[in-house]
Amino acid sequence: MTRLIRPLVVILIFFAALAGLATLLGPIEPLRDVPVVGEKWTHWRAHKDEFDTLFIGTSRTFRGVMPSIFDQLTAGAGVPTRSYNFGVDAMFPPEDAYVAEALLRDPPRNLRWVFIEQGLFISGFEGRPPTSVRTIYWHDWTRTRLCLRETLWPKKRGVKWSKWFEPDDEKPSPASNALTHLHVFLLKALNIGRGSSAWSRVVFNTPSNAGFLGLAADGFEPSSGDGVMRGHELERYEREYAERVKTPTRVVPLRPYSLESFERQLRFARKAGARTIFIVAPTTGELSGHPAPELGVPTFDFRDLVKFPELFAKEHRTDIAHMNAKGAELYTRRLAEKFIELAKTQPPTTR
Amino acid sequence: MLFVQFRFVIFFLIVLAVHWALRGNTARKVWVLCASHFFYACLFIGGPDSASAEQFPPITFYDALTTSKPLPTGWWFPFVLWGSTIMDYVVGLGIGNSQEQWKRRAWLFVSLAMNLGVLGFFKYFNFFTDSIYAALAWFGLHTSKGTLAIFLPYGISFYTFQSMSYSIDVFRRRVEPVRSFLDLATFISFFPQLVAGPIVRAMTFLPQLVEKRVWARVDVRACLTLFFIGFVKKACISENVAPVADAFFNDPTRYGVTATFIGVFFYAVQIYCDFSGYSDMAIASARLLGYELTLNFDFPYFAKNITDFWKRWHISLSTWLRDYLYIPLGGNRGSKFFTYRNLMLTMLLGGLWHGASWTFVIWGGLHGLALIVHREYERIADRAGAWWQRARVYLGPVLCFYWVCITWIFFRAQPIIDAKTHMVKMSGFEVAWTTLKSFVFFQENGGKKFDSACLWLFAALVVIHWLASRKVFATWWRRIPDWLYAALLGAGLALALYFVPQHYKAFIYFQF
Repeated sequence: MTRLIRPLVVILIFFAALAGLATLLGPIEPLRDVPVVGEKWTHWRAHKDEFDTLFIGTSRTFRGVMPSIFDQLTAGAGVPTRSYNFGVDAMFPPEDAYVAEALLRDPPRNLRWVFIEQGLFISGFEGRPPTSVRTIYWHDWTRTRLCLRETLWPKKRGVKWSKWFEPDDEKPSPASNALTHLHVFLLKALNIGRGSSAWSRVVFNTPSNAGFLGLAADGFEPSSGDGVMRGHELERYEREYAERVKTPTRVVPLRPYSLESFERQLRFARKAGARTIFIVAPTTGELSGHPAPELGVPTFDFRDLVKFPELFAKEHRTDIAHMNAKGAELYTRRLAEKFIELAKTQPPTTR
Repeated sequence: MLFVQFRFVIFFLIVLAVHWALRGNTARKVWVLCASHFFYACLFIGGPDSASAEQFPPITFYDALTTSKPLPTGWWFPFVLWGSTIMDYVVGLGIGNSQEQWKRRAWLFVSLAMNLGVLGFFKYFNFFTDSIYAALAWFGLHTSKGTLAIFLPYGISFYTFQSMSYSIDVFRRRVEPVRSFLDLATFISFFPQLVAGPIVRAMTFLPQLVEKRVWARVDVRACLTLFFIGFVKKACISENVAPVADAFFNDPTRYGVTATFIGVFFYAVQIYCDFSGYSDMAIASARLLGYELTLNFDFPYFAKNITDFWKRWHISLSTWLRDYLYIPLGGNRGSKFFTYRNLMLTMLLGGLWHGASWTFVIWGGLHGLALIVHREYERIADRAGAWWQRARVYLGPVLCFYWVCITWIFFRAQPIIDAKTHMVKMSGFEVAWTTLKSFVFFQENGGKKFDSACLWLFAALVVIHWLASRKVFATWWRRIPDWLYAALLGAGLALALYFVPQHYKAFIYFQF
């Protein structure tokens, strides 16, 4: 028996040391070398105490919310803010929750407002290389667990296990997806590539891509291109717009795992002494997910075609999901109006 | 499947567990043979330009046979390997059963002709035809050029040399012809050394197959340490210096003198850590299975002189070339001229063995030249005063490393293709010449620099390597208790993985 136990203990010690040191190395600049996220993170780390309002979301926030305009309007209305846009292209839940937690773990001294954009919970890897830096960095156990549950038990209900092995319309099977998540989690847990990326940055003197911070260094960057919809994109938009005119967007509660991810962000924001506002960007989607009212989170939903017609005018959009520079200004103004109204009636608790 | 990949660890653990669980020696050899072919299949299923397999070989073949999917590009690679093995098995028996010398010679001729023919066809056909067309064009005779799309089977340079050495050793009566085909097949396709060496001799490996391996004789701690060192060399060092060397050699015209030195030094580090890292992992894997492979590197960059360098660099190839080429050519038995001719021929062919390109031939030629010059110098230096004897101890390694770096420039120089036009922007010779202007004549080619961190890293690597060569790290890890060793190995691995890049390059010597 001792002959068996002894090597087992040694093997256990080996794995404990491996996991222990990997866990210690994990928190060293976790976002620093992630494309786009890294640039925004570096600027945030250096200037975070200058800001009291934070926007987190996808490209709809990144390309749609202009902190300079927002701050100008709020100052004019007597509820001054200094805001930073931490929107990143395709940063959907649960990735946004990971970033939000990283930002709010060491919050700015005067953080008061956190705006979180509603995004679709993405548990697959469609179109994303699973072993890219951008996919690995947020795959901590909390996020991986959420993805595994969403993949294997969508809607929190058990799925017949045989379905796990059936691919769905060119997509990999849930089991394959789950395995990929576990693989990516291992890469994240073992910090694969982190030092190597940092070394490349040092050696090649990679300049910080200030383009992602925008001209005002506030994180806003307008959509690329000339900001005009053409051809198929325009046809698709007009079709979807017509459909929404016929059947307006429905409001539904957030899906279980989106809600879970969101609730974590909410907890972190509260701990940081900030108040959270949930925003739903102006898109033509069929459904609009909202957090439950008992959470007490104000929600700014901009998907109403009748209330916000200018946000859906095709000359203000660059594609089906994004505003162009003019649209971004209008969207920011609308957002500021709603915020001012809220801030005047329900100011945030100060720490 | 590369040694540094997680999938290799899984593969190897299964191979290891089953190998030691099997009782019979024959069963173990069959298992190792199957594992070797699975390993080989994993290499070519990734495609001719990739050494990583994304698919499981049996499924890929089953899919190809049952559906309309095409077979992987290198599906025929194993047939070349089997062909070489069968031929040498027959030749070995033929030589062994023949009493007359002419018959033995005839069998040997068959082996050499077949092995060199296969190697020549796959590796050098396009090189020779291209060279002939170029030579004809130089004389004004323009002909229509025909080039075959030939994929080089992985490891062909290594296993053909291995099987040739078997035939030659049987011919020289140094080895008894193998009666068991299984033994010969296992020897030639043994996966730790199949694709990039070390080139194992029949006389050292075949006896190990006859005797049943014993787990109790495996020094597990030494094997794990060696594998870990090899992993760090390849995955942490070679892979992290490679982007710098690549950036430099992809356009040397843009860099200044310091950057040129960094680029060339980093390539020297890259190729050493890549190849010696592979060899370390191969030797460690084989030892864990109970087999001993030849040492391939012995701190070559601390060699006292170029002759010493070739006793320390790619030892299995240099001794192969010495025993099967240099000595049969006459070695140093004739006049000085013939000795130098043999030396030069051996090095030129050694260069050509590395790749079908004139830059490799020049690389070999420069080493041959250095070996000749060193022989002459030795005769003069022996008569020099005591001060020179002292100075050469320090100057020798520096000059030797500098010369080796100059030769690496030719080894690394590849044509630069313009990304937009897909035309050759700079030929391999132009790349080498531009680099040499800066590396030897200190001429600034451009103003681009690398960060000074590169110099610090290089200095740190030199110090660590020097300490290792002084055996500073040789034994302390043997004396510590098991639990501490396990903890240090685990922590070391965590640290190493931090510096491992997300995507690996295949081992440099896989292409040879």
